[in-house]
Amino acid sequence: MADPAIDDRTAKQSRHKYVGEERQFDLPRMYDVASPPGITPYLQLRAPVVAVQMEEGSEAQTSVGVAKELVNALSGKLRDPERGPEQLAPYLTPLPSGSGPESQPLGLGEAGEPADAFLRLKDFLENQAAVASSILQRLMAAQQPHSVRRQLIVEAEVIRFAKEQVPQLLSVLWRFIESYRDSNDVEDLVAVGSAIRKLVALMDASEIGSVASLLETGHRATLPLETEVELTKMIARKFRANPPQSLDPEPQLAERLFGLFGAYSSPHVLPRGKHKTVAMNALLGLAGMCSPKAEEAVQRVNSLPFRWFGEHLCQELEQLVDCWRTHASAAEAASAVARLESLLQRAKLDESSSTANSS
Amino acid sequence: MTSQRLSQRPVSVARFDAIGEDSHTAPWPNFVRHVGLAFRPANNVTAGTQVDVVHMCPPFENPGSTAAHVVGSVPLSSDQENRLEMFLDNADGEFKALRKRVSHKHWYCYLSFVVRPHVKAEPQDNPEYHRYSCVGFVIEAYRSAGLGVIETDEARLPPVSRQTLQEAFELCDVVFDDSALASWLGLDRNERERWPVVLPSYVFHALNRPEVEIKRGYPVKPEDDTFPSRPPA
Repeated sequence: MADPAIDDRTAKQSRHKYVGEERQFDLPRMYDVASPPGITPYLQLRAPVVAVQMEEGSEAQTSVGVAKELVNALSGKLRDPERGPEQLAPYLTPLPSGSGPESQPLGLGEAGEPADAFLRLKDFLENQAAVASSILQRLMAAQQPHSVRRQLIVEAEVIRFAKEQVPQLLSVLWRFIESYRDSNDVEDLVAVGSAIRKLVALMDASEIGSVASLLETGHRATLPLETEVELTKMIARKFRANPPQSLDPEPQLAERLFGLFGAYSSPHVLPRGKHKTVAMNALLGLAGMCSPKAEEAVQRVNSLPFRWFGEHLCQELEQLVDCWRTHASAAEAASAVARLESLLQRAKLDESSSTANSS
Repeated sequence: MTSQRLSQRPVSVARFDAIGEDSHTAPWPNFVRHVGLAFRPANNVTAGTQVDVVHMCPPFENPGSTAAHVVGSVPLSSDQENRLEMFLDNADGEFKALRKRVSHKHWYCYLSFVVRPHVKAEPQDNPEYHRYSCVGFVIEAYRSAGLGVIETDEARLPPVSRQTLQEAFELCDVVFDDSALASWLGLDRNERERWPVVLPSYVFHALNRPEVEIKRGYPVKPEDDTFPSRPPA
């Protein structure tokens, strides 16, 4: 069978349809996945018609795109022990050995040739808008299996969404965080972390106060430390990127951060595991929103037997002052900078008195 | 603080020491192509020994392993270790998500990787996560512990040529021939095809100084692209 390779030009002129629950890619003949000059095709598709279960809303734009999605889907199924590789092996035929250096299927989680990986990155950079639409559609589909939704949340973290897509995405992320923030499944927590980073980064700075409810204890169980690290880190980052327009703009959020700081700044707890990180992030969040609670927290730092914690605080506050001075408009950040400088002086004084006491 | 090129004489490495791996394709010898932080103390390390490291491979691995050809000793105090651990705690969630993405689609590793600058917040105006080069990750980890390590201001970094990057790091033509890819990695096209990239070997020069100096950034010289340095051109 003589099978023409499909290049990008012809691919863009043709579309393929999905049919039924088991959607069918109507591939008229066997063909190679087209590759740019100089890059060895890594596999061939050998099916005139291949049925592949795709996620709801997934849509390929070109036949080359179809082929690539097909490859990804098949590769995913190859990893699925229930389906077994033998069922799909006939469709995936690596090129004969010697036809190119290291020709191997990608998408199996193995290190591919850098050229292949960079080409996929290039595809992604060129088609990011389509990827974003596809991911959002799939995230919003009601029937999505949890494991798929979780993976989509993690992927969404590194995708840039259009402004008009943001409200829908935020709503999906919020629901996911609320449902799984205290899960005891490690995989869930990885996705919750992604969702928190995306949510806080995308939300309007004026709405950051709503995050206070996610820090609540007693939802179903205690929040895992990993979730607290992400929430407090992102709150601090949010204020770093957006100096407060007024002092203490979110008293309820400040109260929650101060509560966390208080809980973890006990000398018996602070140096252990990630407690120190949550405590530091919470304090930086308080400093970032110019909360009066930050001064109280700095006083408590002075009473701790851990000089390194105060040193680290001073280093972080110095960076925050520099950041606000450099990036925020003078009028916007003037009072916040002044407040922060005063806090920094306080921290430095406390640090030096602590040093004197310890020596 | 010392850095040393390894031989067959066994040495010990401490947790968070810098571990460097040589390039086998670089245009000259002693070119360090990769650096990571020792994940745990190790004894009997000789040239080429696989050492467990925390590193941006890419993707990020905690721990992964790398062949040790150069070691930079950093006798961190327990206070400094605590501070460095806070950096790792904050990075941990981002890196676990990266691993999850990469296990699904390998090319994602390059989405969280950058060549220049050594670290980049994404997006810059409201950061969600950070992209690192291998050496960028090591520098930022040490900085969190209060060590300046290297002066990374681009105006003070020697330019590195396309040829060196291609030969030593196997960055392929695809990267340099595509403006979007090149730009993503921080290697935007320019006429001279040279960029102020922070190279892994700089870390070992920086650590090969007295303790008081290491708190300040090391001013890199053009011949520092190998460890030890090449004779000046």
